[in-house]
Amino acid sequence: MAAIIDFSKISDNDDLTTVLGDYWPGIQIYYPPIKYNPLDGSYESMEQAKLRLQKHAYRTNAHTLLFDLEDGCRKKAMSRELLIQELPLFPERNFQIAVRINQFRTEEYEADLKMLKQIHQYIDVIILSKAGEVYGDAEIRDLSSWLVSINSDITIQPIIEHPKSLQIASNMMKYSTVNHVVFGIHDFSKAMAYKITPENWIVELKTFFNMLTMEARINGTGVIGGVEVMLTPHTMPEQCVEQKDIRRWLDLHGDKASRCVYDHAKTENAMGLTGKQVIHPNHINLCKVAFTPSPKEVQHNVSVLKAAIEADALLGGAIRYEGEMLDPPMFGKALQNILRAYALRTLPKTDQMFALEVLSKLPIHTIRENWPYGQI
Amino acid sequence: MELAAYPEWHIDVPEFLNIGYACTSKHLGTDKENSIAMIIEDSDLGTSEITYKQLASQSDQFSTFLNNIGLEVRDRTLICLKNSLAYPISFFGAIKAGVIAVPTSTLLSGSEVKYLANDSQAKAIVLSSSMYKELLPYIENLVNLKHIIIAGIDSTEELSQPSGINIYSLEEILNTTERMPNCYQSKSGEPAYLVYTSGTTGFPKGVLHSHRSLVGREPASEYWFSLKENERIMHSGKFNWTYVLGSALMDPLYYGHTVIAYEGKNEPDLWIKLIQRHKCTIFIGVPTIYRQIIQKTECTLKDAPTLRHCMSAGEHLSSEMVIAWQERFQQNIYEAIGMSEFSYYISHSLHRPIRPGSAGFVQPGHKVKILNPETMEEVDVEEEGMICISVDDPGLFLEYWQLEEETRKAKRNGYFFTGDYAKRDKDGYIWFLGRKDDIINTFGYRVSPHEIERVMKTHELVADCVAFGLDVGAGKTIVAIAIIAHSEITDEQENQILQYGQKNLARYKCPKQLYVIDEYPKTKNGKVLRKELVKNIQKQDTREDAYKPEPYRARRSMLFLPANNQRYIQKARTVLADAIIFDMEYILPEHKASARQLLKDEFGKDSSFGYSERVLRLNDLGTEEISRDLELIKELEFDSLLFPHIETAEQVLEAEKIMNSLDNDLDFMINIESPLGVLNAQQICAASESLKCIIIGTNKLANRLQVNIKKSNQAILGYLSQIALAARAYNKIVIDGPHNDVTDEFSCEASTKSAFQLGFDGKALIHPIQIEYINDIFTPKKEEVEKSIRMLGAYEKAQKEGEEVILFEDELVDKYKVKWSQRMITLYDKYKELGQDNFI
Repeated sequence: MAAIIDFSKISDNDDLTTVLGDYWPGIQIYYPPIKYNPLDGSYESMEQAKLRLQKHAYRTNAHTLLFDLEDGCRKKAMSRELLIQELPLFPERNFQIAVRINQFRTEEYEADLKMLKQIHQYIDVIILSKAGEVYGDAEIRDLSSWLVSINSDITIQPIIEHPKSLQIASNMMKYSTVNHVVFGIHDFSKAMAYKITPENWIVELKTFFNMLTMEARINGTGVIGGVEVMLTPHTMPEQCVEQKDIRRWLDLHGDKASRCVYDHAKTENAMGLTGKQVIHPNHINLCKVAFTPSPKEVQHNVSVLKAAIEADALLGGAIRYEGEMLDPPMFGKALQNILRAYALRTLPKTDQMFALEVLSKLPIHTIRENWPYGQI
Repeated sequence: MELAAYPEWHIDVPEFLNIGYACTSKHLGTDKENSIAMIIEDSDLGTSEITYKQLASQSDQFSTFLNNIGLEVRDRTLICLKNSLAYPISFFGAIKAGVIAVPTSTLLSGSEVKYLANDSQAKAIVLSSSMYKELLPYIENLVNLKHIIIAGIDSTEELSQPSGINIYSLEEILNTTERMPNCYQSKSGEPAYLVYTSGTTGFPKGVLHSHRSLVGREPASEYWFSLKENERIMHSGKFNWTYVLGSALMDPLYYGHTVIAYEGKNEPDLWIKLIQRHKCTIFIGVPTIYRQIIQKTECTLKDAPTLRHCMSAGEHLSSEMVIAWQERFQQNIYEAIGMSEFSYYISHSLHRPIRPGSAGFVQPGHKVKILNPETMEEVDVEEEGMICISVDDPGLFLEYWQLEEETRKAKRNGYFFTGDYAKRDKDGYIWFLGRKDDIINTFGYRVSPHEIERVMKTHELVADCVAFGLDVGAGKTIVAIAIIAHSEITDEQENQILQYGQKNLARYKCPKQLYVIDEYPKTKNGKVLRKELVKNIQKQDTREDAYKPEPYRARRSMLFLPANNQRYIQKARTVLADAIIFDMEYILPEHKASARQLLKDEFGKDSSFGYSERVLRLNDLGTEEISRDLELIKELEFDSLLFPHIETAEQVLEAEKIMNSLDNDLDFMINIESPLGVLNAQQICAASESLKCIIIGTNKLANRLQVNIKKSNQAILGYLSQIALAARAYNKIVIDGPHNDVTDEFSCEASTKSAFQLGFDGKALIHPIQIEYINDIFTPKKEEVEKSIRMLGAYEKAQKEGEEVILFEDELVDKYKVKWSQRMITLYDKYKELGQDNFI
């Protein structure tokens, strides 16, 4: 069976969401709306918070700016007021805005919803803490139906931070509002009484990661990886995108923590995760490059697919390419890598059109196998 | 004298403000709409002018254009333009687009512009057409820079097109871009422009200002400018200087006045002629210009009858000059002081009598205090303290560009610590004492150089004077002055000047040593570079014990290229290797003659290879080819000569003889590339004092040893260390040989790392792809340098308390460690100056 959509009619001005799904959450930076200054033990004023917002939040290089109203937020009312005043004034942006709201059916949760009602048009994602821990997946159902009444474009990212939530993760993924779930490793390990370490948590929680990623794949849902707690004193420059530069920076300028964070992000990328939450701006670039295929990698993948099309081997057969034998599963991986670059907003327009050209040659079940995030 | 306090002034900061709009489009629909906003007098191009309406429309077009090419809010654009109408169009246009404008002096060298472009990560640069060719080699390889906009040409067709960068003509942009209002609605606290000032480490640092700085300067309109209706303001400076940017561009246009600016050669009577021609009412200059007019012309107020108000800033104006101007022009010169971080905020004004030598009053509306920085208490009358500005003051800068630590240090406890010391007299006049760095610490006394200069400038033989501290021994600093005299002076007159100091200054303040010089080293904006001056004086000092700085050449990466390959030679002009080695030996005999011709042709076109050292690798000693190479040296400009295949001390002496026979100041280098060379390394290094550098031919050495070093240089590590040891014993630079497998990045990186660990100064290479890693590994890391600076501070303090060894953080520090740290800092500064590594 061929694809239902006539890909040949899609131009580069069209919205590709139907075919490829939304952009991924990518690197989500936690942004405290009102910041605490440990030096003098005070919270910043509204004016200071606004200035900081303009300075740092307007031009974040993360994929998602995540305003935290839950655990990391002590001045909740003031934070909500800040968002009400400032979100409408945000300049045009190429990142998502997410708000982490408080646990379902608490007083603060209700106050969060009131705020959302006022400024829903400036928010893309709601991140629900402790999702399903009290009322099960009904929490998602309830929030989803409320969202339909105010803004059906907003999606929910439930945080799985308790074994109970992990158990019902599959049910939560069934809702059309849930495209990605977050694995809240710290609360989860606490609930499991696991003593994880900042350096090795990814191995220590591997079992649960695997359970979650498998359910997610079946449901066509993405998984957002864990928050690192290690402080990295240095920022990797933005121009480091190719392996060679990253290696040089990590080798000669990076510190042990940076290398560790990068390795974790690489592993999460290898596990097919669609994003990662970070709490420090220095983590953004490190994780971003670990998650995003570099321009050279994309070019390599494009040439592999071009060679496969040339040899008419895209759907069957094998080709010899730069010392390797490549067959359809390998072509699928090359395609996935290109689409991953798309989902993380780095794929050039010409390559987007090429990806569509490749998709148009694939049967629909192969598309779904390779890329379950679209609506086809 | 009882002086009433200045009236209260409240600076009203609106929530939304865009400087680009406020200085141009705001006047549309008012009676200013068709007034002239700016007149440019260009000595080559004649007079041009622009109305507010035209300026509003053209800056909108520029703003739209920046958006069209993909510049976003808070991206940066360098503005490197001469005084021209293109300046306000692009400066205000960029700000209208929400883009941060970065004014850049046209007097900067290519590498300095490159440094600023790199540091600000600018995506675009606007430059004058005459500068394009000169700047292009420096800016075409920058990672972020994607657009060059050239003013003063109709089309870019005839210009060379850089790869990966788009070039546009400003005229074309203004002819083709849609005319519609386009202004980003910025909040007043958002960044608007970024100015560079000299940093503490000797590198310019960016000072980021927001839109609100425009209203932050409102008090100056009354308390310095004293603006009336329809002023015609002439400024002698260039727009890119912070002081001129405010006083000649933003402030006058904000109030709808007319600005007259000049581009061309400076003549003493020029300014008065221009004031006369353009019926200027206000003149703003720097002390040098006032001095020129007074000393070199006979002009009086009759020659400039429209002039009613004169202003000066930038450096201190001598009392003598204020008085001379009053006599000739029957009016005062109102002086102001300011800084890149806060523009002009202390000034003389019409409202108070001028007290010569003082800086005037803090303008009302500004919260400025003179504090003791240690106790944070306000100092008493006549007591010295640091000028501190409340961080809420809207005129204050936002931050140092990407220098959070430095911003944090300067802005703390609710104040910005200017670093400038001053005292207040009983009537409230501020007396400026100078930067802490400038204050001379002589035998325990702290002396302001400005105070000494003020007195010494009043001597009839002294035209100008700079006072400074001169180190004459360990911990001994005396006060010295460098003067510019009106005419040549005798030794006896020098003594008279010193005696004059003794008579008029306290004993510890009077200068003990005097130097007569022709001119001071100055910044591009005319400020005296005091540290540079001291360094120059020390350098020229003929005393035996005088400090002589040792020149250092970066030799981290030395790129070999066959001298017969034109493409490689041309490519070498843009690569970032510290040295380029033109190899005459490693080419086929039949190509040697044509290689020499090629070098002549290429060096004839342009003998500069950026900052790279030009090394000629000669043919073997004793061959006929080497004599032909030596002929070439007489014609072309090289920096160093490299003798191949050196195996014995005798050969070094033979090479030295050749070096001595050449009437050039070239550096002497040799290759050790054979087992015999390794065995004789000590004698080779000991043979000649003039021998500077040893480069190891690792591949040839491995061949002779019959070992393979393609994957690892493990097999020859012992020999490398032997040579390194010999080189260090005799104070030579030692360079590792190239890694030949250019496809294997990993093994190249590994061999570089082992060379670095063995203490080599650099590594040779054969492909530009290897440069980045090699430069990087041999460059001290910022963190290490910062620690070294802290460590030196702690060591110095401990030494004063009589300690020789201290425990600093996690290590023991002694004088050897101090030396090592000093070297790290020097190397870091040197390499940073080259401005090539984005990770620094």
